[in-house]
Amino acid sequence: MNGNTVWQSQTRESPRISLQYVRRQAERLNSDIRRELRFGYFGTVMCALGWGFLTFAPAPGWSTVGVSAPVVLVVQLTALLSLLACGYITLQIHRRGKLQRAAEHEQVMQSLHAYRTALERRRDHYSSAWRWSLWPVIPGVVVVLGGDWLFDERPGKWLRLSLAAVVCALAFLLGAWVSFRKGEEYQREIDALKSLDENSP
Amino acid sequence: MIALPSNPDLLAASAPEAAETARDERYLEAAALYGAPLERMARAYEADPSRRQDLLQDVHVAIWHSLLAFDGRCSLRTWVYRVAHYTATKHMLANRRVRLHEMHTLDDIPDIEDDRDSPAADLEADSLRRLLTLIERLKPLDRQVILMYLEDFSAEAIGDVVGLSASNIATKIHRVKKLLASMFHERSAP
Repeated sequence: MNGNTVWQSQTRESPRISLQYVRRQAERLNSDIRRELRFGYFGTVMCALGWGFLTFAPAPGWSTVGVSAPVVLVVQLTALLSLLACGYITLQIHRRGKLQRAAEHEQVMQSLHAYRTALERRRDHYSSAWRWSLWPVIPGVVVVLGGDWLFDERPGKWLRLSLAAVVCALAFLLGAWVSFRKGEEYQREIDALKSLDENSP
Repeated sequence: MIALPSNPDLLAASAPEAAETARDERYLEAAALYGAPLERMARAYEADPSRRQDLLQDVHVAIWHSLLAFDGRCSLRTWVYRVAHYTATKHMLANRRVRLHEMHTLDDIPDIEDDRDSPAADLEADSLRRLLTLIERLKPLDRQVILMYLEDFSAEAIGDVVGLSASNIATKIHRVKKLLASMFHERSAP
């Protein structure tokens, strides 16, 4: 008995992996992007519905709840900006996801470092997410806060404004942090792959 | 550009569907030919049975993905093993329990003596266990070399997969033979 015989005489224990199963598993790779896209489509549709309602709802409806004309304008403008922001972000996710898939399709394993390249693209996607996904939201927030500042006559305005500003800032930071963490996860995997090269002769 | 398969029939039909079909056919061929060696390789990279199954699936997915770019410049076997070892190494390094600096190269790994009490013991299972212990202590590159040696690859074929010269691989194989000889009381080949 020698090493080769011992090694090759192992009994198989795993079930056979079918082509259909492999295809299904391969699709998992882009599940993150697909989930974000679904979320983006949902947000855009909701914003569109909200904007449509606020813009085209019968005018008497506003007066019954005691809202002045300038505030109505602020609300409508905010809804429109939110719709534009949501649409822009969804478009970005769609475009970036499509670019990633196209690049993978072309490069898949032309070299064995293609996987690392794919990881680097995903890392960059998340590391830069705050730049392309947060700024489109800022105009809407500015309009809301500005409108409140200009037209809200109720007492405690500054406290409400400050709280709203803090909540918005925290939401921005949370979004940026979540993206950053995802980027870091990909970076860790990239580092692991790099360490393989460093340990090769 | 997508590297289309070298099969003339498929080159004529340049539609992406043809490339996809060729990939599926190549994958099925690879799975049929190398399914068993790939399973053995997974065992050498992952001791935990459930994680090993995940690894094997990842290897199959990576091979299927990669075969779209397979252009016949190397053999299907070389291609499959390159992708498989790369995927397995990636899996191994993603495991935070694995410490590369605690692993050995073929040159610095200590000899493993034959510690069997009785030759009548469960020889095969015991030999396999000790073989796996040896492999698990090796760094990724040397692990690839020993695994392919155990699958009867020549030095040239191993060199094609890992990207080293045949003479470099021959030196490593000499060390592998010595290690295996000390484990199995074989006569080491000159």
